[in-house]
Amino acid sequence: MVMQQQPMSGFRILDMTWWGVGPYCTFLCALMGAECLKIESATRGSEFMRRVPRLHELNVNKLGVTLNLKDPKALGIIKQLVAVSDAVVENFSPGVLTRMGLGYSELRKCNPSIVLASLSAHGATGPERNGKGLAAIFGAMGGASFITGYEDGPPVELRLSADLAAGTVFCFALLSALYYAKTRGQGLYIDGASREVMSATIGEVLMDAEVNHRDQRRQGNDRPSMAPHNVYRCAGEDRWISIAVGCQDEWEALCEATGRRDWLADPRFADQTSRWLYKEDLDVLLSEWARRQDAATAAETLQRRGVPATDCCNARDLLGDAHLWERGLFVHTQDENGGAYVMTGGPWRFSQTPWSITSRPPKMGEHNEHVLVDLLGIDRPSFEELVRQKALA
Amino acid sequence: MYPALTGIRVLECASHVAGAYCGRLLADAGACVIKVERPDGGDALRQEGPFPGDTRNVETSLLHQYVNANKQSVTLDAATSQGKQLLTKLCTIADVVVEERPGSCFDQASLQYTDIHNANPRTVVLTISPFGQHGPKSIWKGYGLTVEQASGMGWLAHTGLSRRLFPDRQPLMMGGHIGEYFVAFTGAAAVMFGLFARIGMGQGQHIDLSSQDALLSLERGPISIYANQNLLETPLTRDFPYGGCFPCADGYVEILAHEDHHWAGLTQMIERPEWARDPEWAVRQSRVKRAAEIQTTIESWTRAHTRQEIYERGLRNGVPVGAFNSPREVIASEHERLRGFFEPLAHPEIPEIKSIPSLPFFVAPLPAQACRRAPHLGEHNQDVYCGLLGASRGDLTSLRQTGAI
Repeated sequence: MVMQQQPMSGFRILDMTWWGVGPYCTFLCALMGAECLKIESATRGSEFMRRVPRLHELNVNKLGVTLNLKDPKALGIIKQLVAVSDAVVENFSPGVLTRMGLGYSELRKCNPSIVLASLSAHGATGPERNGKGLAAIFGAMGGASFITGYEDGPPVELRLSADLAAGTVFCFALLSALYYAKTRGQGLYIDGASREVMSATIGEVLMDAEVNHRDQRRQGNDRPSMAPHNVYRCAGEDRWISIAVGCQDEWEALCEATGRRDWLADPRFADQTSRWLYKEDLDVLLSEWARRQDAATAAETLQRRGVPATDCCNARDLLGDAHLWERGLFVHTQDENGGAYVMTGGPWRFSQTPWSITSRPPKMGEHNEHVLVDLLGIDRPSFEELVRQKALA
Repeated sequence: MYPALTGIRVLECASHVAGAYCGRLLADAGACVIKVERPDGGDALRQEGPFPGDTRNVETSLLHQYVNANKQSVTLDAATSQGKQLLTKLCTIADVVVEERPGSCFDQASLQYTDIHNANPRTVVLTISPFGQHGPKSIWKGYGLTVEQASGMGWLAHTGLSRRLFPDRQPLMMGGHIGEYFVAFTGAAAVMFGLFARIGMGQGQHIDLSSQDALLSLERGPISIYANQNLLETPLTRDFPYGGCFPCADGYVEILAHEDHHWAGLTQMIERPEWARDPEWAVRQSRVKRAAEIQTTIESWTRAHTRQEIYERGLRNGVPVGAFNSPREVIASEHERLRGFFEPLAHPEIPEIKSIPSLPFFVAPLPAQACRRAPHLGEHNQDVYCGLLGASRGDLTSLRQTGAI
């Protein structure tokens, strides 16, 4: 069999990001074959990321380079790297890169086809650009949390998954710009705002606000016109099943599978509109049924009849699910020190060019010599001089 | 809109948010996206609200307007042999197919990836489905709610103030279609990787995207923690030790001050200078031990202040704070107005629409192109079938008469 090249083979990305958003963006590129140079200095963010394995795992497949960004020699090395790279991804606070002399106009002088993606919580412009940005905050500012929660309760925060979702859409932005640069030979600048990612996920709610002058409320697990549509407690501690019925066939299948054919004759549940009106009655009945069920078994039973239902999985359930292992979602790899490490791989299956993890997360500066000497062609004495002068710290 | 993908043609057969918003991302990046819809009523999204004035109409759904902007619409009945032929012919001019199974027009026409590949080996095909096209659960059915619960995201979602108020309530889904938008982001990135792979291989391939995998991949933290440390993350252990969501005079605010340099700012912000002087409070561990006291003190302060006051004070003191903005506040935000996140859009038939949320990133220095309203059902039949596929006006009439389009 001929080994296919990976989609991003031959692309080089300078990764100057930490926390979740930026590292996930470049992680996806690295899984698909891009060469990512993780540029670190002794910054708080970088150290924190290394202490948290679930964040540090996003550095697999990346090369580790340390540069003291306060040293002009290190900035010169970055410019040399820009000249031989395709993209720079960074999440410094807005304006910091420009103050370092590495703004987009400077980078373009080094390489006219470079793509610069600047990622931040609120964007590089606008009066609130300097606000701090963790997912719980940008999810709140962007409006997504406002509509998440129970009808009678406060808004619920979005967490790390919102960071990684923002990283994913910024990955799309980066790739579209790289596609343009590849076909037209001209680079682009991207200003990504995580808070706007959260607003984009409620676009129809925002249009409703403008057109109908109202705010959609929090509605728990309710969805207009779907009933049942909720999560029910099962036997055992903290075990639950989710059931969503969207059409008559699914409703009839649910009645069969739960052994409650009598519900079919109940006028309250005769059609979708009526079931929606009596959804609270339905929830009571389904709660009574679910309480005696084992969640996973019940989900299988319902699915066999064609009812969209799943048990509410925690990490233990998911790691025990043969379906996910068969899809190759989880992978045995290594941590920074070479110890066994299990993690989630890429979120998709490509028939010809699958994602792959080929190297563990790098140690700080592990690839300094490789990158500076082999890639940039800096001679060894000069490299050693840079080390002595702590330009690579 | 920015013209990065000019020349790329996408066939989109999606009637849920995940596939449709994936198509919108590609359209906004400059691809020509042709949406294939059923002749009777079109895409299911057209039936879904919200609607202007709550009046149901296949042309005015705001969900449809939002996710299908910048696209073209053609109709075909994939259950007829003529419709199936047309669909196969459309593949010959498509660089990308985005479809959702079950239920896409390819599914209805019993066309598999190999059929598309035979019609056009260069086509990159993205198939989005709840549990994927491969594996024992690939036949499982799912909606947004159940897929979120199957991904591990739902079980952990109920945290913070809400969980403290309702400790026994059931797991929760994110509001609206947020989870499906997350899948759409993943799909759009996948399509781009497919296009890059095509440059090297000279041909397309099949991308199998399971919504469960996509969401699980975003909620990957608990997997790593359990697999490598044998610790099960729960909504309780996930909670911030202190800080989080607080009620205030006019809504809710988010306050996070876990790091030492944030803590000093917090003591200034909530007017507790004695906390800054007390060496015991300076250590994170001892703060965590006294979390209940901290929460009560912060809350009694936030209740006396408005979101705006708290937000400004937070910025001034270097404390990470955020306001829980309502949708109307998001559209009125000065920050977003100046950034141009809401693009002007004039819709001749729906005058109430003044603007539409654009992409969550800006691209420069390409000339921005104005956003185009979502297409009417079958609006581009003639452009596509005659202009691109070479059908005659007469062919079009007979296709209409037989109900194929």
